[in-house]
Amino acid sequence: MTRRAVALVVIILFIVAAFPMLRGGGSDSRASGVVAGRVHETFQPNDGKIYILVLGSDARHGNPQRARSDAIHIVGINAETMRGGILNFPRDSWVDIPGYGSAKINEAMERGGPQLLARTLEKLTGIRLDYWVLTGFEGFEGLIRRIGNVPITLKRDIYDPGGSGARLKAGRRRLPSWRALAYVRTRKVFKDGDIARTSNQARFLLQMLKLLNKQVERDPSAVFKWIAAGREFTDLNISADELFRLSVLATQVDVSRIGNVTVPVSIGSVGASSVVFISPRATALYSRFREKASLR
Amino acid sequence: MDGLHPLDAPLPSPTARKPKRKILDISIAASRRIWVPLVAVVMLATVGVAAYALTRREGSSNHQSGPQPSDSPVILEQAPWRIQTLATGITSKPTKEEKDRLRNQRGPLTALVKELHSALFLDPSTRKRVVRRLFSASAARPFLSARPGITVAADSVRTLWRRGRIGIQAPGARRAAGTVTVVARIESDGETVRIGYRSDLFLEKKRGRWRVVAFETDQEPLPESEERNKASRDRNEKGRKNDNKKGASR
Repeated sequence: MTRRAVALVVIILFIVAAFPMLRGGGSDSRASGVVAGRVHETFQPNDGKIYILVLGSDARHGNPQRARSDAIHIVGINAETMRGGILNFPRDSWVDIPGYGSAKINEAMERGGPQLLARTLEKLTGIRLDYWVLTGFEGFEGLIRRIGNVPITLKRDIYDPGGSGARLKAGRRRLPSWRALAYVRTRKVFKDGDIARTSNQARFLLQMLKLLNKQVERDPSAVFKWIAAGREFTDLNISADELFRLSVLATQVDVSRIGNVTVPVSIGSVGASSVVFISPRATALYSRFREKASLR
Repeated sequence: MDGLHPLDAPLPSPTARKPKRKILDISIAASRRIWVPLVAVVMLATVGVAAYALTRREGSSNHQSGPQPSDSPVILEQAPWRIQTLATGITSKPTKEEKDRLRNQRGPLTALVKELHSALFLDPSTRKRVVRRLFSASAARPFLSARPGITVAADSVRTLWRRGRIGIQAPGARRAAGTVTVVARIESDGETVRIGYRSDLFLEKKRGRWRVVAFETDQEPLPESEERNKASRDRNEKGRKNDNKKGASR
C-alpha cells in the first residue's frame, strides 16, 4: 500500500512538472502570451512623439510571432501636446512587403515576425515606429483577467455564435476576458466586415486606456498592477524604467484627445484572393500622423 | 525636446490641460469677490515683502509651536502624519530578501513625503530648494509652476489633516506611486482660508535616492466651518419646508 502511494505521488509530481511540455508550449510557457520589443536598436528622440505598433495574432496557442496578424494598429502619442491617435489597418490590405513583394499585410508577420511587419508599415507610412506589442488569444485574455473587466458601450447587439462566439447585448457592458476576446474578433455580423472589426479593436484599446486612467486616478499605484500584468504575460525587450515611464505617460493622456481612424480602403481582389486596396488619400493621413502623432 | 527621450521630458503642468479639479490660489477666499487688479497688486506687494522677510530669517522652523519671530508665520500644532506604505504589483509570493527590500523603502519614502509637504506648507522659503532636490529636473519645474502649498505670506498655518498612501512596486522596490492629501487653515492679513490639497506622485529610486519623476497636483479653497455649518443649516431648513409642503398636499 505504501509503495503504491509513493509511486502515485511520483507519477503525479512527474505529470505536474511535465505539464507545460505536454501542452505543447515547450519550455517557454509564455510563448502564447504578449510579446513586446523595440523596433530599432536604439530609441531616437522625435520631438516628443512615440509610435507603438499594436498587433493581435490569430495564434490560439504556440508562438504568436509566427502567425498572421489580424489586428494591426499604430498608436501614436505626442508627449508635448498630450494628444494621440490610433491608425488602423485592415488585415487584407494589399501592400508591399520588403523582400517579398506585394501581399496581404497580415502575411508579413507570418513570414518575418513583428519586425518585418514594422518595416512594412514604416515603408508604407514613412513613420518611424518605436515599439511593438503583440498578443495572441491567451495573452489577451490573461491581461484582461488581471486588469479587470473593461467597460464599453455597444451600439447594437452582437450575436456571432458560429464565428467569434460573441453573444453581446447592446448598451453599457463590462466585458470579462472571454467576451472581450469575442468582441474584438467579431467581423461577420458587420456590413463592413474586417474594417468594422479593426475599428472596434481600436475602440477597445481606448476603453482599456480609460480603465487605466480611472484606476490610477483612484490609486496611482494601480499602474504597477498593469505593469505586473504586462510583465507576467510578456517577454519584454523594454527596460523596466522605460515601461514605467511609458505607463505613467499613458495615464496622463485624455482618451477624448486620441483619434481613432482606419485607413481609407476599397474592396477588390487579386487573383482569387479578396483584398482591400489602400486609397491614395491615406498619404495625407500618414503625413498628418507623422507630423503630430495625433489624429485629433 | 531635441535629444531628450519624451519619457524624460517634462510632463505638462496640470494647468496646461483642462483640469478635472481646479487649482486656485489660496490668497483669494472663495466667498468674496475682489477686484482682480487690486488683488494682484496687493499680492505682488505682499509676496515681495514676505520674500524679503523670509530671506532674512535665520534657520527654518518646520515643526515648532508657540511664539515665532514676527516676520515668519506662526506655526501652530500640526495634524499628525498618517502615511501608509504597501507593496503593489505582486505576482508571486515575495522572498525574504524582497520583503526586506520593500520594508526598507518605507522610511525613505515617508521622509520624502514629510519633507516635501513641510516645505510646501510650513516653511515656504525652502520650497524651491527642497523640490529641486526631491524631484527630477524635468518634474521640478512644472511642479513649482503649479504653485502648490502656500505661496503668499501667512500669519499662521495649521494643518488639520495630513495623509499619504504610497504603493511600492514589488519586488524590485525601485518605483513607487501614491497620493498625499493635506488640509490646512491659513490666516493672512486677517483673513482665514482653508485649503484642500492633493498630489499624486510617481517616484523612482536611482543611485540610492528616491525622486518624484511625475505628478498630478490639485489645490482649492474649502468652505470654513461657520460657512459649512450655515450651508448645512440652510439645507436642513429647506428639507423641512419641503416635507411640510408634502404633508400639506396629502
